[in-house]
Amino acid sequence: MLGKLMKYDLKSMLKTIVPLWLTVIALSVIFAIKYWGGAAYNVDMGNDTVDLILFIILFSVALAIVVMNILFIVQRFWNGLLKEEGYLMFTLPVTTRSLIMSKALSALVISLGSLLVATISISIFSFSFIQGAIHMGVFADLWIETKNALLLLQPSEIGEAIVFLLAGVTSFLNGIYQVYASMAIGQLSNRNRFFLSFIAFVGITVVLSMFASLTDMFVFSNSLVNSCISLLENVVLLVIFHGMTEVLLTRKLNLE
Amino acid sequence: MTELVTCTHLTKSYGKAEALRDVNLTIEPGHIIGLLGPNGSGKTTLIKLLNGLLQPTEGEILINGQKPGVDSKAVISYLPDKMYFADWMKVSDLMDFFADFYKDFDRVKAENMCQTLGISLNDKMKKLSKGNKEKVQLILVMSRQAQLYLLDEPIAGVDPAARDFILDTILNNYNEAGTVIISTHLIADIEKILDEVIFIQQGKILKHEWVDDLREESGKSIDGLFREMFHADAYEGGNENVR
Repeated sequence: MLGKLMKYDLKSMLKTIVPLWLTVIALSVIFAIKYWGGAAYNVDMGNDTVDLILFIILFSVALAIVVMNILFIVQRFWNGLLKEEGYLMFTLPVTTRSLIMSKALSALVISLGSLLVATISISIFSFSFIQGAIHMGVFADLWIETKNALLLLQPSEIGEAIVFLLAGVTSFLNGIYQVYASMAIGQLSNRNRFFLSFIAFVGITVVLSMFASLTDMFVFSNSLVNSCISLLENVVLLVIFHGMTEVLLTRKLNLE
Repeated sequence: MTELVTCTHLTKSYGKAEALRDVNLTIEPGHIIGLLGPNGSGKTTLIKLLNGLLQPTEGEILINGQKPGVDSKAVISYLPDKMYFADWMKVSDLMDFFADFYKDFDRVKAENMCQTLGISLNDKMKKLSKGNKEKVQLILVMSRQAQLYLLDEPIAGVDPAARDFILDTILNNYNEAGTVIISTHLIADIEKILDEVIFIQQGKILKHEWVDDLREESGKSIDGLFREMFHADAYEGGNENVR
């Protein structure tokens, strides 16, 4: 059932964000061809005003993606579970756990999608820049050196990179779950749901900061150990946030 | 006969306000039951407890012998007193959604009913009129072959023509082996279709009887009896603290 829930959560988000993703990539291509390509080959590709407008549009769309991403995390949980839609979702023959996980995993997938689009967009710039640079005989060595460094990675370093990556992903999921747990607390109020959610979020952040200042005292010289500790902390926090959200939405659901 | 719903000493409080007090109730399959009471009498709370949206403060609810959960939700078809659609959905998305989650959903029946009303499957929910949205919601709920239909105020705030449509849709489509519970305070329109009535006031069940027996005993219509029984509440406007 989790897969089916995610299908609808993703569908609702993709309808809005895919056009933005495509716009960013298309603008990157246009911008790369027009600006970097032209500059690299010393070709006059147009005037500066057009470049500026293109850049502003690209920047605005990229910003819109970041904002939409944050909005999705909040809105799909708030509207999808805690407002009228909750009457449909919480009466489906699925567990509350699946409902929460569907929202969190869908938000993660969309965020990773946005990250991928950003990577593609930057790659398009870089590629055209490097093409221009190679043509001018500038960054050629740097490119080769980077390639060689990647090929010489040791297995332990790859393992470290994987742990680091997992710690990053779980840290991001923690951010999503902190928002969810705050909203699960906020919905307990009949009159000031949003305000209580905000207060809960601030409160949790303060507690986490205090906790972080304690754990920062135990920093090891081995970066792999540090990444493992960070991953473990994230997993524990995830379990706590999810547990809080699930218990509140199962036992104390307060739909509008 | 096997009991479909059993409530034992069921109590639900919101803070200090008691919405339901020590409710003991048994419901069997195969009936249309009116859950009748003035505003704020605890009808919606009872329905939300039955479908698992709320948890009891005390006491117990059993649906087919089990506490409300995934299994009971699979056999309950619930029509809330508000729209529960996501704005982005088309009518066809909702059909997909119900078909995905409810094994007892009859998609062909639902699509035919929409077609009869001139509602296209490609229509976006947010662009439908309020009346058509309500009709789509009712069609979806009544296109399931559920064991228990919980219809919360289905005829409140609609014009007489729409009321007829709603009642006809319920009568022509419900699973006759199942039970329909209709909560309302508008008795006159609904009286003719009821087998049983449950009168509820200030969170307590006052009567749970067969409609024919009640009419015979009192010599009055259910509407007349309701007006007599809840006369005082009509002036008080119900208890504000109780949902």
